[in-house]
Amino acid sequence: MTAAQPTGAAPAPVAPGPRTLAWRRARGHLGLMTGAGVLALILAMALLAPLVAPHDPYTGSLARRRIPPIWHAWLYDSPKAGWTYPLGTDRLGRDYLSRLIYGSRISLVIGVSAMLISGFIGSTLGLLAGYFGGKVDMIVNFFVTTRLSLPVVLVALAVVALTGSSLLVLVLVLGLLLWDRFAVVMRAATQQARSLDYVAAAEAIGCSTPYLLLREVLPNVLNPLIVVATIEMANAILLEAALSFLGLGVRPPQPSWGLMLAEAKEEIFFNTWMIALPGIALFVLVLSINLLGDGARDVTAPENRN
Amino acid sequence: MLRYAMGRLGVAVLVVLVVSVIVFGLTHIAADPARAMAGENATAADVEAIRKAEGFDRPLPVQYLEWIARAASGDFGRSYLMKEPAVELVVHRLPITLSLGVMALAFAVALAIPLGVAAAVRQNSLVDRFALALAVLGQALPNFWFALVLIVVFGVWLQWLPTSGSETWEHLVLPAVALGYYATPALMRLTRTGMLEALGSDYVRTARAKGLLTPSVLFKHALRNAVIPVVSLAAVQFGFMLGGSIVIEAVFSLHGVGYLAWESIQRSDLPVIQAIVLMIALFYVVLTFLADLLNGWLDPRLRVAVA
Repeated sequence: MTAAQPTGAAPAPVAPGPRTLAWRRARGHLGLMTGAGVLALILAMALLAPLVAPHDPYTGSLARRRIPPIWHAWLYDSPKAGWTYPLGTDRLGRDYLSRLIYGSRISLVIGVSAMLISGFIGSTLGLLAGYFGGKVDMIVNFFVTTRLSLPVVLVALAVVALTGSSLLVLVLVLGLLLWDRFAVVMRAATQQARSLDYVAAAEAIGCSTPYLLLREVLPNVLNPLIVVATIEMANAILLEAALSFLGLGVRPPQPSWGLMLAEAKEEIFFNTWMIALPGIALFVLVLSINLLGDGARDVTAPENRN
Repeated sequence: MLRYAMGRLGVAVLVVLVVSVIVFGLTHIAADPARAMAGENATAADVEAIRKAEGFDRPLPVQYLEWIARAASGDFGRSYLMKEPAVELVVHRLPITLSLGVMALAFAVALAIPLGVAAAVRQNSLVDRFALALAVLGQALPNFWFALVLIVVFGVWLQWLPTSGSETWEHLVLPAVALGYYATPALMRLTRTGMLEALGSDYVRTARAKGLLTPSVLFKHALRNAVIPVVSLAAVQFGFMLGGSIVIEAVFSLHGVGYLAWESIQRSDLPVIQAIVLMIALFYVVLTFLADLLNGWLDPRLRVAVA
């Protein structure tokens, strides 16, 4: 045994635990690493927005309206484009890059908070349904069916518009609408975990139900929960953008990417780049979150890859 | 089967009732119907007068019962602004949204099933990877932005297709693509999973062993089984599309139900909002009910499990 090992190498450890294995798989997973990397970058950008953004996102100047982005100087010899406003300015003369950077804050805040609320509601319902089964399961199932028959965009739009849109209302409405997948996935995972030996053992030695749910079952259903969390965070971000795009979400002059797209829509025949940039930003953010989620699923449950 | 169907029907009716309570509650808590009815320039006295005259000062449960009784007979009240029955407004706009939904679903299915089958048959091949990459990218694409991109490319640059209005079927092509592609990844993944499972199952192996040709095995045996869950997902997706078409209709100025909803929401036209949300919910419930029946009919095991 020892002879087969090169001298100086660490002694062969006991078989690596599941966590070490998952971590190794994670490092070798291209999608996961790309997603995590890009997301970390966007996160850093959002946190350090005042330091990173070259200009104030709210103040514009009528003298500097609609300056095209820097590549217009290279491709079309545009005399106006330059490094002062690398991604150009909007129709009010506000720096597009700074607005995009500050816009990431809105997307992330709404995405994370809505995900936390819906995650709490959905996983509680799912946990109860999966653990108790029977009547509880039927009731939760009914809640999920009811929730699914409410058209999300329409209801969110109506409530946000009628109550007067604010960030808080937006987060609450999205949080209250997006919990269904959490409940469905949690229910299935809990049913599986419930039949495992150690849960039965804990039950047999007389552990209380709350203890069983929180200490025995919950830690074992966290992996699918993380995957759903990424899906719903991406969902909330896309919905916020759609609501703001329809003029009934985040209010101007906030630099929400959806709102920027609504403003750019007026320029669709003249300044296509104005539409391209916030859309690409949204796409990249959502894609990185999805890649992270897909990767997390592959790494934690490689058997479910297909 | 009858017991199963009755059970499902009972749940469906209950869901619609609960949804109606939610819709009524939300519109009456989030907005003041008297104020919405009076309009922006009304004085406080006007609002109070309307509140009395229309009975908005009565307890909410009483108002709800009156509202739901009328709604059950198809009367959702009159639009505050257009002074027409809300239901007529919705029904008038329904054909556009329905044709948009049907075209979008057709586009999604036409893309998803062949791609899913090909990906499963050649698992881990280039086709498979391409299909999965397409699914990941498609899911991250905001549909209203994709709609704008379609307008720029096909409407402004190439000028192949019209970008607003709804006079001909060509007006619906770009909106249908923008609405339909979002359902493609889920349908494609489900087709692929179902096909993989079916291809690995005993009956397909038996069919192959009996010397049946691959295409016949593929389509007669494997696909037929793989497609069952896809059909019910497609029904559900169709329901989502009707609810989600609001964004697409707004981008393309398609005057369908979604556009009507957008206008009504901006003007606090509560009867129309209530009618639209409830009708879409009803539509979704009917679709899932039919999908349940279809599944129960195709797979007798389900009847026992749920009933």
